[in-house]
Amino acid sequence: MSAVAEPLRVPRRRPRARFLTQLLKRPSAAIAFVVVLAIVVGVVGAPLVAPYSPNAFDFTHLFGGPTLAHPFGTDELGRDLLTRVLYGGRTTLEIAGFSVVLAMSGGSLWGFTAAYRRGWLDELLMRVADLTLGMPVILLGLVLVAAFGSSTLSLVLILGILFMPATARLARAALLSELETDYYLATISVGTPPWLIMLRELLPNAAPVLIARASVVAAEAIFVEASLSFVGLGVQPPAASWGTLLQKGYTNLYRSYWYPLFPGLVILVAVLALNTLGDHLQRVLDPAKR
Amino acid sequence: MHGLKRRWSLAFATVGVAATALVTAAAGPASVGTTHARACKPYGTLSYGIAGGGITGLDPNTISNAAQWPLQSLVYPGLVEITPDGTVAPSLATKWKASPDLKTWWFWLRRDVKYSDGRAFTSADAVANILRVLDPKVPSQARGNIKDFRSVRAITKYEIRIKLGSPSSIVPDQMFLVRMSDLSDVSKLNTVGNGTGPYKVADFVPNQSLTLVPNTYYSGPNPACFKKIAFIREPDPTSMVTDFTSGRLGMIWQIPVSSVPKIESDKRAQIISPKTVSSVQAWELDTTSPPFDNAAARQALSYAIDRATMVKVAFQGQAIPSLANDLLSSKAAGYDKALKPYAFNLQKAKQLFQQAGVKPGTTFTFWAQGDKNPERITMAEILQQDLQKIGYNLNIVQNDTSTWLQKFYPAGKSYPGLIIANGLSLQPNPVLGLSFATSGKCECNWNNKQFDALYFKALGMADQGKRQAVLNQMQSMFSQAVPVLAIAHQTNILAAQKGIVGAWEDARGNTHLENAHFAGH
Amino acid sequence: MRRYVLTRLATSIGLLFLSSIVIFCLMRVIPGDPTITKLGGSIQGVDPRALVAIRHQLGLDRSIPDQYVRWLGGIFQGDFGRSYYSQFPVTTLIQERIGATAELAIAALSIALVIAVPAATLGTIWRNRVFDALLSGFTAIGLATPAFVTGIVLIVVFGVKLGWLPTQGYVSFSHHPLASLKSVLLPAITLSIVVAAPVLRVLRASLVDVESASYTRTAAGKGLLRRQVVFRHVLPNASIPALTTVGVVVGGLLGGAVITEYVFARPGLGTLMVDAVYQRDYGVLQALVLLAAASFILSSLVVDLLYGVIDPRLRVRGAGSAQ
Repeated sequence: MSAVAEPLRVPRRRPRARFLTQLLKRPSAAIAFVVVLAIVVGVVGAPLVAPYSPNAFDFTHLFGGPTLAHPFGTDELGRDLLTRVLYGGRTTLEIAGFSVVLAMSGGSLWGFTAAYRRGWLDELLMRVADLTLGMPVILLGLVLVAAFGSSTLSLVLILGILFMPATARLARAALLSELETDYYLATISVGTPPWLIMLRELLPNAAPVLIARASVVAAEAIFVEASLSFVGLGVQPPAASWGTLLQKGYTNLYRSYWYPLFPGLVILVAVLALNTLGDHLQRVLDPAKR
Repeated sequence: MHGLKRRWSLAFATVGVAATALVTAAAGPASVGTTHARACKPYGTLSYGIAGGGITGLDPNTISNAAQWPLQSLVYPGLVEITPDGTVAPSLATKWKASPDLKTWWFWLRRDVKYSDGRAFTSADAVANILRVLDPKVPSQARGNIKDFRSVRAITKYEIRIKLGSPSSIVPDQMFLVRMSDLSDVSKLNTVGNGTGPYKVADFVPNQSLTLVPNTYYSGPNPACFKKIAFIREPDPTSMVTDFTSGRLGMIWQIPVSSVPKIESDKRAQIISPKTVSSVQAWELDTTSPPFDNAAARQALSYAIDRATMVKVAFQGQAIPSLANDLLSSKAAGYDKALKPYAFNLQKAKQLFQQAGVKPGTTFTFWAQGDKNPERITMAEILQQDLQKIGYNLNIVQNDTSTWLQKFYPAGKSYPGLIIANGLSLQPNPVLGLSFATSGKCECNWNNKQFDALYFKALGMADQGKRQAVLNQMQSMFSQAVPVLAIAHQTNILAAQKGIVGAWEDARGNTHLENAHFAGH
Repeated sequence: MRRYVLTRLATSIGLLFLSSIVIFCLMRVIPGDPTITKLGGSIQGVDPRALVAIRHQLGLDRSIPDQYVRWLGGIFQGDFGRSYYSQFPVTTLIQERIGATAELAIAALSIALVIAVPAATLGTIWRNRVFDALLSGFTAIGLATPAFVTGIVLIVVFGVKLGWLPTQGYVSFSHHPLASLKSVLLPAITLSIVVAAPVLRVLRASLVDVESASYTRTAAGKGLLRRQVVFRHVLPNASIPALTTVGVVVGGLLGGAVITEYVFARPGLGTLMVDAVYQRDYGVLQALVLLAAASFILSSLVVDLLYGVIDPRLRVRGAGSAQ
């Protein structure tokens, strides 16, 4: 047995290899991917793409309908709505993106701690998560916005915190199933320190589930941001987000039916694409579901 | 249509009597002709939509929500009532007179008045209600007006006498915010409504709905013409307009400006406008902390506000710009026509800011409510861009109402650098309207002794001409010192289906339904 | 098993306390208070003495721990306190509104299950590509439309354009059953979409999982009809993971109800809750949060126990079922 002389190496698993090609083989996933990409490019490149300045008033064209010059129409100050939607997307994606990062990192830490320590700590952490999940998100949102205001930063913090418990449950379940694998037991038995296993093996293996989850959380973040804007507590002017544009459009519905339509459609398309992408990501990345 | 005409002429007749009463009142004993009772058989249900929060309480002397105002004339008449042109008319009091020094006033009450539970209303009830309003521990909207009352007594069962600290020629106007409720159980004032009006409360779910039915004990001049008035809370102004245009609501109040063209184009509906406007879109500043403790900084801001454009864009022309920064509208009684307007002038604004030591790059905060009044945000965005042109920043912050109020309410709070977006429902009487800027009342903390003295001087003047001279002095002081930025005179917008007649809106923007009925009934 | 139930109960009660403390403090820390909100709307130049008097009357001048202990003491005596705003007893306010919310939740859940269960089952039996695509399309759009947008669209189409159904308000079932059902229909559909989409998704996924499991293949191998396999083996086993989502569904119902009630101006607990936040009506909000936490803890406890009954393996593993 030469294994006595040379330390036993457990081969790493690489379930994520070339997942992008696999993902794009699925037609609806490919469409969703292209849509998300197009939105991100359009929004990030807003200064280059947008036909007008986002804050250029035109008092002669208040509440305009769609024309060649203004494909999405104009708003209550005569600003071009296509431009507003593109720039508003920056705020929305910024909020969604950062809150996803926060929710994923905080939630994973929460869930992993619970799964790894087990016992009473696990019980406590999971019951807290359950309880927060049982509270209406919008209600907690209202209270937190009242407490911290509705700047972009505080919206990121609020949404990040709101989405933590669900992520924590998922992370815990993912890690638990990893901990039960023969692979983990083998690694433990050769004496690798637990934190190293955690960092080098368990985290990367639990990651697929979390990545898929991230795209769903991004969709939810866009949603909740829109809901908070709907009750008037979104980002502050002159900045706009898709949510605040939708809300303002709804307020001015009887002046211009077009105003709420386009921000609403953009939200719908973005969330649809993100959810679809999340679904397919999960199937592609999770070996059990393939 | 015949019924409609007849009723309107009657309503105007009442107003005419009221005006006479006012003029003679100041001169001495007044007697008012008996108002003719209309004949009316209660018919149908009027559904009245309110957007946002519903009615939260019933106590008429501690109003907690603007939606509560229509109840004042329907359920809780006062000794006097307001008229469409902003003066007052007899109601539970039929006549009044003042002593020659204007420091003692007598009111005589109607004798056949009963509460909706059948109990008779007498001078003891009137005195109890006035005294309750005077109690500093009771937060009443009427207290500011009558703070100077020294004693209130019931002389006979139907006569009361009021003694004042300093003379006043307009005690009836000061009294109209004081409503007559049933004080036999104060703990139930907010939950059980018992008044002497043509209607009584049948059902009340706070924040949600309120139903009124005719008060069978009512014997006054405005008997109930609806079988039911239902105040219905709508989630937001847009859905309120939706339910109105689909015919589910008979009347709606606080309509967004942007829905007006839609309603005007609807053949079955009409916008009901007040005859005069005494409410104002006002931006309040803390005049006790930098930078706005300096009058030049406040004037600078006033020059930087493009009032005409704001009215055109944010209110779509449906407001009167307050070009001279005055609490009184240029079309209202008592307005000083000689006031010098603040012509929109950014260079002058910049120069005045520098004179006041406010450096370019300074950021002000526009502190507004998020859940209502989108026009205020539109106005702020216009100011934001104009200020930017001369190197100043405006940070717009929308809050929920509680957070918004916490910063500046009640008067006496310090809020440096904040511009508070507010709407003030001032009283149509010009003396009382201007009293908003007196000490302790205005959240701007201006507390100007000279202005206070002018207010008391105006109050004590029976002669119209002399009083106007003092009013002019007050307005020019206010216009120059800019304790509050008056932007535009504009009020709540009211709409009704055309089948509903006789409803009107007062100068403060509150709905009056006491004469309303379905056409032909 | 018994020990497990006891531990669960103890933690639940502990958490109930914890959540009541958190919301109690949180509400008092955020800016604004009920007295200022109540007066600020209409009263200019309020005397500071009036504010002091009201704050004293409401007990707001006491320390937060003192207020909490008094509130808790009241609850143990069955007194949930009064609204700081409208002065109605909190129990009255809740009684008036619980019917509207319960009706909405039951109607929405029924519609959701009526849609989700047959749809997922049929999808498994038929294995039809078009039907599958329709299903996932519905789920995706259901998940991608905010409740307020669905609500507004339904109001405009069925309430305004077609005029078939009332768009707002509530009629109690005992008062007028038919009118009550009519008034709940649009909100219930709105809310059911929020609930049906995730249930459908989970059920569909677990149906596929179970179907590919070895025992299902064995059953099919024994010559049972495809329909029989699905009903006897696949559906019961697939309902276990679907049960775990009940917690999420209850949360979704509550959260969705807040927005749905808001959009349809339905006088339910959700509207009461939002008003209480806006008006800083601590008294009402505290009671409602306690109620929501209690019902959520209870429902997840019941689900956990049910879970043990359905899946015998978990009874043996005990605490492992807390997943």
